Amino acid sequence: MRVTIADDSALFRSGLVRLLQEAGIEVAGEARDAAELISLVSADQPDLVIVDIRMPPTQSDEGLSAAREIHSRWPSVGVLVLSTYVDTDFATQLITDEQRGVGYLLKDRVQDADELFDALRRLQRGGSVVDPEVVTRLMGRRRAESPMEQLSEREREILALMAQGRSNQAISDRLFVSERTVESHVGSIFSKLGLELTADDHRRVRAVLVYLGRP
Amino acid sequence: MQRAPWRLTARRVHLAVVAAGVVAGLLDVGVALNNNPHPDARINLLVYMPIELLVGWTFLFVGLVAGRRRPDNRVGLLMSIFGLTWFAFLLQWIHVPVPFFFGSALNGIHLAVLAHLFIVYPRGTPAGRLEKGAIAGIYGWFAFTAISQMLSFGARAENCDGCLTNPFYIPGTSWLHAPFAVVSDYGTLVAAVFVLGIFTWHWLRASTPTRRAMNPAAWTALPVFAAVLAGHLYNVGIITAQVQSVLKPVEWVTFAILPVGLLIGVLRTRLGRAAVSDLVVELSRQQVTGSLRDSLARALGDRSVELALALPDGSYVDSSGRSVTLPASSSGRAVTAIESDGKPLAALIHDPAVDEEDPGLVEAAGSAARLALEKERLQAEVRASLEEVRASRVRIQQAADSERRRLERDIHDGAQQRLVALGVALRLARDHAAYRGDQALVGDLDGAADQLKQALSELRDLAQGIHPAVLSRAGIGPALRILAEVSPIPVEIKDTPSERFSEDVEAAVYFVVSEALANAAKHSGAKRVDVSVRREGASLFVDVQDDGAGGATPAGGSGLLGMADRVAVLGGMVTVASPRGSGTVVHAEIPCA
Repeated sequence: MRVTIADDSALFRSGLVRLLQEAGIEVAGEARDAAELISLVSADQPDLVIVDIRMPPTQSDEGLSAAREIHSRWPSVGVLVLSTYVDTDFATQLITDEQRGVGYLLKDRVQDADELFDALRRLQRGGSVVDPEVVTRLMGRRRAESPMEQLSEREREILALMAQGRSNQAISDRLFVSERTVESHVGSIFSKLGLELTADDHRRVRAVLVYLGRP
Repeated sequence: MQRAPWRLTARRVHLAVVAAGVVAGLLDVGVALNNNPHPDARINLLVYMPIELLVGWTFLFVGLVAGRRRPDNRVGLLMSIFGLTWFAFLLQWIHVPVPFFFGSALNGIHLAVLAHLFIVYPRGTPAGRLEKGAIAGIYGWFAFTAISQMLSFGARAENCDGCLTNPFYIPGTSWLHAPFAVVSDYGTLVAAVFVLGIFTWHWLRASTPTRRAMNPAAWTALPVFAAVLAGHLYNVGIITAQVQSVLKPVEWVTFAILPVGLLIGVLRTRLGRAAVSDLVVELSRQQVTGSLRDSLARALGDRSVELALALPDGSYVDSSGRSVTLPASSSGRAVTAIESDGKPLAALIHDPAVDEEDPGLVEAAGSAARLALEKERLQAEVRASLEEVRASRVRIQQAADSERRRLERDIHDGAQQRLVALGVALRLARDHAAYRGDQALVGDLDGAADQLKQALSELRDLAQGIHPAVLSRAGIGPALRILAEVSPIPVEIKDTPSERFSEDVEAAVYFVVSEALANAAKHSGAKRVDVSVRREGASLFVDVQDDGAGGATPAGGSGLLGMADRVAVLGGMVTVASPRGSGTVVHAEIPCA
């Protein structure tokens, strides 16, 4: 796997490069800002790009524009956007707008290297990645009313994992249950929420996020 | 040097009127000497002509003198116009049809001018709509009677055996001539009584110096009015020819005396000083109409007067507290300082002509208004201080906001990045320890990593609390949704505007909602909070409503008070309704345009 990273902190970049290299992931390039990232990717397309949202010059959302641009110009390149703060609207919008191979993680997750590598692998396969904190908050929004109340504890757990972009197999691994059990839970969740069941993982993530993010 | 373009000024009009009047007077002399075969010519030459000339020219030149004294006062110009129109009847001496019949129609126009003069004497301008309407009505009435009589005069003039044909005659209307003449006479009687009434009313209301100016005009005007009234009463048959034959010569004499009365009035008291006295009377009666500036402008006869009030620090402000810069001496404006106990009180910025015409007038007016000025100055000082405090509050708030943004950015770019990098370093160290099989070290490093995560999470909350980055990036809606997500009580966001506002406004809305949610979570025991932010016109309306215990007061905690202060800086206001037992509604209105 070849990865290009973009972040304005040299300290963070060097740590991330070592972390990736020790895990046997090739770092194809390092960029300090969005413009440099675009020129690097345009010269040599990696499998994946890891980009911080907040970069010079405006320190607002340059990383996002860069991610969108990369995704539209080189659809085969997966993009993982890192953010210091949890921005639910922003994350939901990013994942539901783009087709596949897009992820949004809190920057802190990088130190849980296994989570990071897992996310990178899922993105490489064209899957989606949504930070668990984003999903927790989205689910927290709909506390008062609605079909969410009808979900069992286990179903909520599975819904959250689905929203994070995990496949049935990944969910079954994590919860120590069979994949068939997960499938039946997913069917039940979708019918309770009135959503149309789909085999495609990304479309499933989008459906769940759109449902949760709906005002 | 380039000359200023020629303009039609009041002064040039005045000079033209006087010149025309002089020419008309000379024409009168010429006509009387040469052009009249009539037997009355000798009487004319010896008796009437000198009196005519005396009356007309006296009015012309007395008007000119009055006009020079007070260029902004129309009394002088009106007197000169009277002098000119006095000679209008002369046109009848020209034995050509058009001027002859014009002359006969214009025979009474000087009376209309006289009515105008007495309505506005001594101020020069009509006070109020009634007087304006009266003047217009009198001129209109005169025009109507003159034209109607001219058109119905008959086909030929009769005084020289039908020698002239009336070019304006409408055939078959000559029977209307006599009724028109009667109507005209009655109209003139009504107008004369009305003008006398207005003049008397002005006299009764005037201050003593103004009365002193009016008295000579009044005494000399009375016989004029009596003579005019008598003439028209005779015309309509109310008094007999015998009485009229006695009064007729008197009429001419009274007209000759009138300008002398007006002249004495003008000379005796300067109208400006009378106006200053009027100002004193007006101010002492507490009948100040409009502002003090307007009263001073009236007294000085200079509509451009500006009032600058002195502040203790030596600067000047206008009545509303806005800063005023005194014009330089080369600016074409004059500045007269008014002092009180040797300290500057105010400055009047005015047309330099006012002082040139009547030295000391401005100072006199300023001194007369000293008490009122002192009051106005104190009010302006308070307004200026308030304005300064308000501006300083805005500056303090903006400085605090920008400091918060800078702090958040420093935390983000500095500590947060370093700690995340440190987390990566810990992870690498842990991997090395695991590779070497040092389980104790792996455990220590895992513990350190957990602590670091906690620290990062707390730092994130801190930075978010100092300034929510999402507010700057995405505006009110997304920022409020994040507030709702982290609130311990379920929060329903009902409305949020999708448009963006200034940083101040967005920060204030965020602050209000954040404080209200914090209060609800801490004190109310609420199960649910509804938040709505709507734009209506030029304001944002923020409502935060909980279903808790109520009883929240601004005194209870600094939260509500801080909220009110924060919104007040932007010129908005916060109201809190919190009846015990039925929840709390925080309502804020924040100007956003």
